[in-house]
Amino acid sequence: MFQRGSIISIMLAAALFLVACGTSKAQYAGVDDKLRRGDYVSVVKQISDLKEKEYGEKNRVLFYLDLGMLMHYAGQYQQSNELLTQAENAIEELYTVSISKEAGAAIVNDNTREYSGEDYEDVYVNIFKALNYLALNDAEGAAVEAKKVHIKINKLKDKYPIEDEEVKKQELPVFKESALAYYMSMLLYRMEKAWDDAEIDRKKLMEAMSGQKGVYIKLSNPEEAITLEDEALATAIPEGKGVVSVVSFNGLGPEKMARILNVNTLGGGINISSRLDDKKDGAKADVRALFQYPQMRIPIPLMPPGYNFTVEFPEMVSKRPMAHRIEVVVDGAQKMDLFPIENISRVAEVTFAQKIASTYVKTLIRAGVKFAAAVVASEAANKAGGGLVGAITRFGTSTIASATEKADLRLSYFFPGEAFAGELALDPGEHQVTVTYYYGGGVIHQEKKTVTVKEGDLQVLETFYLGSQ
Amino acid sequence: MKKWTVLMLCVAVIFSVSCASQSHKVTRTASDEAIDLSGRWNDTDSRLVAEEMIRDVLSRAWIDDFNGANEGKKPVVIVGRIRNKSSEHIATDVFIKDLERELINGGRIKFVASKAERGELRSEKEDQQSNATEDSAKKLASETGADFMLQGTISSVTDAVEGQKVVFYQVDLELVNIESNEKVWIGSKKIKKVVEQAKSKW
Repeated sequence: MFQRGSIISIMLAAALFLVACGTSKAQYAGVDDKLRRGDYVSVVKQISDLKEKEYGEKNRVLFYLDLGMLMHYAGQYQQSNELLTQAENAIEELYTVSISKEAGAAIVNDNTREYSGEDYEDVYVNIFKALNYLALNDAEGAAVEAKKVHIKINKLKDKYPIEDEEVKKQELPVFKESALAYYMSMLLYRMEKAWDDAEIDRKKLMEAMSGQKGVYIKLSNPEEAITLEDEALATAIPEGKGVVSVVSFNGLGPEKMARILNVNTLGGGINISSRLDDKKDGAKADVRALFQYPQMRIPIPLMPPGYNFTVEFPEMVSKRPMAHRIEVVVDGAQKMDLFPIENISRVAEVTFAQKIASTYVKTLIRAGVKFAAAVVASEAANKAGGGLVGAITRFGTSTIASATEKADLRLSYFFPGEAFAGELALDPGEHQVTVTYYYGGGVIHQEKKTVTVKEGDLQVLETFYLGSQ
Repeated sequence: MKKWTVLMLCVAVIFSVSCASQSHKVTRTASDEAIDLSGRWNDTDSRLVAEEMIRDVLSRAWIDDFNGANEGKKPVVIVGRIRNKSSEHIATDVFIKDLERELINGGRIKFVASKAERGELRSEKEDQQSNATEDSAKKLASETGADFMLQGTISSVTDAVEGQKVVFYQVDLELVNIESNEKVWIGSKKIKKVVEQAKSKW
């Protein structure tokens, strides 16, 4: 007879797993509103206070990225650099996978692993470190970071070679150059008056946009390509003038949501339905169905009826930024619209898509084994103990198997969704620069800054508005 | 029953192992011992490059030429800016101190304080004019001017794939006659490192 003790031991072991089973997003409760208001200090406090409770050692990369980015927005450039460097070093260290933790992931789910960062996080961390160094008047430090971005993108090309048959077959867009990274290094070369190097990077920037049509699309309107006329960006600083480069960030980066597959067994077949869940409210899942696949019925001979399993896969979902246009006005007269230079969310989606296939395969194998074990155990209990024991076992094993199959939804929250840029050649002296973010015709955010322009010099002015729809 | 319990205990052990934290261990070591951890530029690189390049600069003909043209007077050198053009944050001030130490210890040249250090010394001398006794106050405008400036760059080229990278560093130093802008010595030191990272560990 399948004894009652067996069920209890299964339940106890399962309870152990469930403690660390899913991804919690409780640390982000209410942050969207605070970001829209520009209250970065309050979000810094919220995230710092939840370091132990919601992040812990396993998610240290996530914590360093989240707090490092927030410190950047809050103008704490030195602390931001320290945190982002810690994130970068931890990502490098976690390239070496712990076999014991992999065993946990193979049995339970990917959430048991230490979070080692997404490819796009590892690349853009250096862009923001470069901006931090510029804000600290350390152009040499910024140049180091810009070089690191190029090294990391080259590594990505080797990690996901375009010649790879899988990539070719799926016809996935591939991220192989970053226009934003080239723009940053072009700026830094111009600061050093290294005109030839700046011109090379300007050309590479243009090639990055024109050669990656699937990546360079607008975040607010994915149907529209990000393009730049050759003459729109020059490296030279006009005689008797100084140049102010405005680099602006708009909206929030993407979020991982759970694609939940519900599998119901019927006599001789299974039904599969799906929904997308953002799991924003901490441990309790928000069960609104954002998207519904047509239900599918798959005939499987001898399949016993009455089982209900769920399995989750991570899905990268972009957020639409609130602002659609960013305008710069100097001294109330000279006006220009910034041009989009990089869809950071799209880069995140594209690099994530290149590695997700292996996650799908591993999840399906793991879930399949769990579900098969649950069916076999329940059917054995049903045969030995009769209807009630069988029904309890069926319910218990299905629930446990499903409860442990949680998608790894960890992703830093505070990278921006897209980057804009634009340049103004100004007379030497003090100028008032107003950067306005528009939704339709309405102003949703405005920043006013005073810049002191020196003849022949170039300076970078950074603005951001993280409001997303 | 037993099979299930054993299986679940095994799983629980694996799970617990994965949550175990590492403890710290500290070992004291000689400051000149070469220890490479991350493969990045470190104190050993800084020291070895400084030693080798200063040995080279002090063994070249420019010193004898200067001595001959200046009645045996030792040349006065200052270390200028060493620019970091690599893809790593390198503490150039540590490298500059290593260069200064090797230059002074060589005994063949005189050495003057850097621009930043001079500012503090001048401030002290100005203070002495009003506050120190006449015989102990140091005179203004009596500094030794440098004859040569040592300048340079640290560059790097990184070639990396998953789990492996080759970093090539090149340190270029130039000694320039401050009066004539004549370059009297150019030295270059190259370092190549292969850094491998295991894909897995227990």
